[in-house]
Amino acid sequence: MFMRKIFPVFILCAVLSACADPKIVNKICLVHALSFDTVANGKKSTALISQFKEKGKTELYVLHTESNSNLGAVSRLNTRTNDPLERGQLRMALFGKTSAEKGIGTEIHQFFRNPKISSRLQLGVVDRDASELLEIIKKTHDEPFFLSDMIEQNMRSGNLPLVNLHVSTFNYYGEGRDMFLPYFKIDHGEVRIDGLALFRSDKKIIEISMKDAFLLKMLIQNSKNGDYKVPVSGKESNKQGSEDFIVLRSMHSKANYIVNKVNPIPSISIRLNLVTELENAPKWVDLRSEEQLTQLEKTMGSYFKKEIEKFLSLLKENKVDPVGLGDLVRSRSKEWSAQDFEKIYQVIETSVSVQVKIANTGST
Amino acid sequence: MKTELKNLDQLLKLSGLSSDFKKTVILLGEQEVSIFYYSTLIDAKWMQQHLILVLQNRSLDSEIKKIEDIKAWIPINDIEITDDLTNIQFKLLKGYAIVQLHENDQKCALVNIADNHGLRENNDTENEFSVVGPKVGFVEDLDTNIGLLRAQINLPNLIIKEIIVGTTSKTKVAIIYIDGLTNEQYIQTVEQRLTDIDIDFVFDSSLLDQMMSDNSLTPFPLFVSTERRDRVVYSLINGQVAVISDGSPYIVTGPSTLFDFFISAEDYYLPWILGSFFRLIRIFGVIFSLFSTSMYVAITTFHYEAIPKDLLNPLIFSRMNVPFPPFFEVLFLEITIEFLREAGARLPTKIGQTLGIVGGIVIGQAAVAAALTSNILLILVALSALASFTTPIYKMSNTIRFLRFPFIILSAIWGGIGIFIGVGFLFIHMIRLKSLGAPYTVPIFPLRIMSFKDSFIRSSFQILNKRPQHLRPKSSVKYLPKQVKQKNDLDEE
Amino acid sequence: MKNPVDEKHLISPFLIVPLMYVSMVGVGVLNFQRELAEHAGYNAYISVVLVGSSIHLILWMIYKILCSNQEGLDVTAINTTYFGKIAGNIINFAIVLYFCFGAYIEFRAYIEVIQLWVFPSMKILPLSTILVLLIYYTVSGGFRSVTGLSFLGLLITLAFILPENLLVLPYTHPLNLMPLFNHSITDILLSSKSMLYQFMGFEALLLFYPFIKSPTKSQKWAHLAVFFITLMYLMLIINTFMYYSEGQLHEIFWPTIDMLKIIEGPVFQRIEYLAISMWLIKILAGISLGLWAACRGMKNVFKIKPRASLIAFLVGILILEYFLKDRSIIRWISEFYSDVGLYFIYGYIPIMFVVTQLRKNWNKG
Repeated sequence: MFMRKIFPVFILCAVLSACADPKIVNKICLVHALSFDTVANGKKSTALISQFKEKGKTELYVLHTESNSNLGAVSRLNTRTNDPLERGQLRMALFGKTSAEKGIGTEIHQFFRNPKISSRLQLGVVDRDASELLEIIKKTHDEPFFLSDMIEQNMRSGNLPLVNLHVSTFNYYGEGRDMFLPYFKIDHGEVRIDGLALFRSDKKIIEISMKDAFLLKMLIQNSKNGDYKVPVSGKESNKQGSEDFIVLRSMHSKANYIVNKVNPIPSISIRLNLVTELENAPKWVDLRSEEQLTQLEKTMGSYFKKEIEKFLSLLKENKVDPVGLGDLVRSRSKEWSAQDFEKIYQVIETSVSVQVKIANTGST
Repeated sequence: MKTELKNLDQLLKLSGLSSDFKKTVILLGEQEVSIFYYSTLIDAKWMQQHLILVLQNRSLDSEIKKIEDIKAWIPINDIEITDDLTNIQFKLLKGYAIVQLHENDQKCALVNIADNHGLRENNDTENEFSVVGPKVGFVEDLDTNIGLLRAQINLPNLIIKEIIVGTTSKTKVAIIYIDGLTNEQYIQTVEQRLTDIDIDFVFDSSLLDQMMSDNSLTPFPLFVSTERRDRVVYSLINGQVAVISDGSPYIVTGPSTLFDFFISAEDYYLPWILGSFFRLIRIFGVIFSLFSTSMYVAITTFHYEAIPKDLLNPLIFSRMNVPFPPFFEVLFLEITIEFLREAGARLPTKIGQTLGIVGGIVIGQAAVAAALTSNILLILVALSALASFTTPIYKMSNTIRFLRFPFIILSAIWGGIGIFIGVGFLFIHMIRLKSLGAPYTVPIFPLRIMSFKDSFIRSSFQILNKRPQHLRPKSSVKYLPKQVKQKNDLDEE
Repeated sequence: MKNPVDEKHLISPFLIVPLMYVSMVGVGVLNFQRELAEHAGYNAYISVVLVGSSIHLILWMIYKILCSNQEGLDVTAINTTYFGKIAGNIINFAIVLYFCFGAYIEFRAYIEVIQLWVFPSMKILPLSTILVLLIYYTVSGGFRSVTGLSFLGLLITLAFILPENLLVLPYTHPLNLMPLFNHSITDILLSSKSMLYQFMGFEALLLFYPFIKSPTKSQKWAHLAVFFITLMYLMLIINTFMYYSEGQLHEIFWPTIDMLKIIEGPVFQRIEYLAISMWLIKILAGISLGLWAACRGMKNVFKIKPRASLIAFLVGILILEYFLKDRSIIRWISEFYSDVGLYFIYGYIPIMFVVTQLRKNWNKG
């Protein structure tokens, strides 16, 4: 009888005494950005953390640590703070120039496997040491999410294609595709996005400019809100060497891929449909005349075709495949192996045709 | 529902099931004249002085040969001699007395001795207020209450059975139901449970509620207790059983389901779209009140990654200098609000107002300024306390206030998982509850799609023409819905 | 023959849907995609369709076994009738152990999910204790409360699986699914074997059959439930294949939860912890159903009171939980269990079907 009464009390004590590990939100130090660099004697990791001292204002701090590997960076950084570092709200991971060229596979794998890290983590490559970028952010801005917001804003209303940890690992682990990440440049103490860095497997190969980034965006997704400058020569401009530009803003685009032949050398034809809005046109263009608009469309179409073909040959030369042509061929072939495709990637045939439509021309 | 009564005897027999239907036999010479009436609807003194006394006096010198003579004898103007059963039934329930000369006579005299019952000077319902609709509430006198009910339900099928409960108090307790409509199982259960009660003093009908209930270990109220007349009438015509106790203005109706506690009379007085909207707001308010503070504790203690990035700054900043973990902060604030509520209910009115302001506003602001709590949490706790009072029945709001605490404790131990452990316990507990033998969580489980039309939303009266199925009434059609109008084409008459 | 179960403990026929759902869909739905894609690659959705259709057939057989015989008896009585008391009771005891193990494995798998995704360094024993208390509370309320919890589990998981599939669509690449049919039949069959584990559990029907009002009416609801579950698995697997590339899928252990990481809104983000907590209700319902079936079996076979055997099973689960911490042993037990399940579903049930049909014809003739 006694035992029956005591038993539930024991259970209750056992139950209540053991809590899960609490991470009370104002007693932890949130890491907002991590960066990885390769320096002379090993690897350097830097973390950007914030302390919310006043309403609306955050103070940012940068912590450094060096060692011979990037794994365990956060636990080493822990030795420098009084609150435990937590990576759950990590939004930005940066790789320095040399680090990216040597390979970032282990770090990506580490992020990917960690259940606490969001799939929307942004990754980026910097044109020099990534820790410098974090120092600049700390000095000039007091927003911890500056970099990730910058990338996301450019994806939504700019020329960057959709990129985040999920998309990058999709490309990295997927066969027949290659990763690409935003590329940051530091200019007079200010940071800006200067295009994309293209990878083969986990090593960075080349960078491309924002102009070409728009082309990539058109090729792989519905490019909304990106803009582009197209040079056009008018009949009335007689000066040599001066060109007028049309600035167009894309409202909608769709890329259709048709695989014509798979063996032995694949041949792909790409048909692009682009619906645009004219942001700026030279004065001599009469925007009300149908003829001139059709002429403009044709000019733009052929210009795009040339640019895209140039872009594709750049990709083939460097043996990088962000567009996913390998994956496309795989989906249409009975047997396909990534190594074989790599060998013939440089010589596959691609033909491009672009159709541009001007949906509206602005108010004047 | 129609009652098939063929003659006066059937009517008298049906009415005789009620305790307040009285029969007086007076001896006039050698004749026995029977007088039938509802004691709660008439003025007793009037009847004695102007009916019985007069008859007895008159009988000393003359005899009544036929019933029409009564008209000459009794000094009351409003007497009718009739054998029309519908008329008799109608007038009987309005407070007339039937005078029958011989047994099995079909013709009788209807004498008006009704009384406008002395209602309490102010018998507005105090605790259940509605903006539209009648505000008639019950008083502490059993007969007055029964009179109020009879005045609204003009059916002889309304049976009132009186029993005595309580060895010292000998309180009159009445069981009310509609014969031919309510399921007999419920009536028998109620009767049996009431007669089994062994208590010395019955103070209030809520004591009866607790004694009658199926399960005394639950915080959930198993019977709806209300002061409003229209609510009791609605329960009765749906097929529920009502219990009144002398000395208490609250009437207990059962069997109830969980959703009965979220129904307010106003839902039926407003158009159905508005009624449904308010009901949904009520249910949302209750869910918010139960879970908001425990979600706060869970997220700030364990799941910091779920905070959206724009909320990070305000949230963390608001907790910046708070020395306690979120669990203690929440407990502190919740207990403060409970103190405020308890104290506010007991303070005299004049002091109550001032202290309410002091307690509510000053303590809150001071607590935030002293960095003992965070202002975001203050808003949450205040809102959830407010939301717990949206239930029309007071008993349920107590339950919700109480239920918040186990959830807070569980979420402080196990975070989000703890909250859902609590949800599991709560749901199983509710499933196992029975009110008078009927399941408590109808229509969610056991699933009855037809009963959904009056639970989360209040459908239009055209759809609500049948009684709720879970009460198993003997007659389920209330009224026939109107024929849908022919839809004319555009611009056609 | 009169139904041995009292009228007031019966449930309506359509409530068989949440019971079937809860017993079949277990923790497996969170990580079945990876194993499935191991053999048949991205053509594995064919395996889903195959297994789903075979389950329809097995379900039909079960109904034939249960209802063509005497009215409303459950499998324990049928076993003793056809195989004699001793052999029949041995089979019954094996069935009881089967259900017990199923409940234990589900419990363990769910605790693993919690340890990985929500609370990595939590002590298991207190949480297990309170979950065990909740299961006890459920099962001791009788079959009705188990059904009620299953109903809530069905509603809650629908509330998160359907939106998850819809919200993930913008990130999907339909190209991943091509080319269709480039794996051999053997591969597809091997994948089907791992898929079968996800459909296992509906054998509880063999024990709760007498608790259904008008059981023949429930047959169409049961088939509807299986169809719906097959569709759900199909939708999940197609979404998973479209969302992840094949190499990516090899690296992820819990794809369904991982897909939730991308969903974000103004007031919420990273809702995995919420989804896992909601999943708790469904898991508890599944474990309660399995334990209820085991206790009922014990009552029928050994005449032990269900409450006593319930306490015994729960304490057993706690003890196993505490001592078996090695992952490899747990993997081994799950594989063993799925093999046993394979033989049970594709061996025992068709054999019983044949036996009962033969007896029926023999009795007629």
